[in-house]
Amino acid sequence: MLMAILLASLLGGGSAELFVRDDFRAVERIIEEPERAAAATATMQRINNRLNGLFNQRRELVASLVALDLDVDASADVYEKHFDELWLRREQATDGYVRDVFEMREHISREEWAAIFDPPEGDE
Amino acid sequence: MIMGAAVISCSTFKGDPGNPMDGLREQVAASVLDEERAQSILSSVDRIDELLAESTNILVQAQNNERVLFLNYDSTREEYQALMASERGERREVQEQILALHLSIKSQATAEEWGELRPVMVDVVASRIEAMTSEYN
Repeated sequence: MLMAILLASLLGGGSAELFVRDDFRAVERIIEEPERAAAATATMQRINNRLNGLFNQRRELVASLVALDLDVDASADVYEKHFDELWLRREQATDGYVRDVFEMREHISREEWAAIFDPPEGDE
Repeated sequence: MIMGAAVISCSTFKGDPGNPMDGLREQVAASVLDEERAQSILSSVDRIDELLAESTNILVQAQNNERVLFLNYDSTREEYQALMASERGERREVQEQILALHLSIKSQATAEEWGELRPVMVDVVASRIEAMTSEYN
């Protein structure tokens, strides 16, 4: 219930993916070397997979907390244990995300980065 | 395209006509007939509503900050780590406050009252998450 709203809030919104199809297409269009483009998209996909994993864990946890709410005698410690686990997983996911962003920079030049992720209006 | 990205609707907060929390307030009034306990529970619901708005603001601000860092090719790991730690601290504080209020409501309600309030709370969640999802997509 309110636990689930809270989970949605603390984990982010309704989407499980960070990069959409247009981002992948832009990488393939702008990076001319296929190998470098493939390495970049592989890292982007790993970020999406990481977020999908977290998204699914969130759903599982929501289900657990909804079930916990059925038990009128469930202690605060039990709730807190669930949240501690979620925060730990979220921290692992965000650490991985930062590593992946810096790996993306190894595959994408400064100019390409701007052209892919922050194109001038009309170039998107 | 930023971590945890979602543009969350701010249109469902306290006082707005479409606020799903109002359904919960009505259910509290209908289920908890002891006026003193009902007022105490309603005040917790109000505070949770405020904290959810605060949480949404934290989330939107964090997304903006993350977007700036992501687009800046020169942003450093230290800047990312500082932002993530700050955002995590703020959200966790809100989470702990909401959990305490949630458990307070649960402990103040009788088993029968809780049995009536819980399903409404689930509906509130569903509508909130649906609003968040539809705003993003």
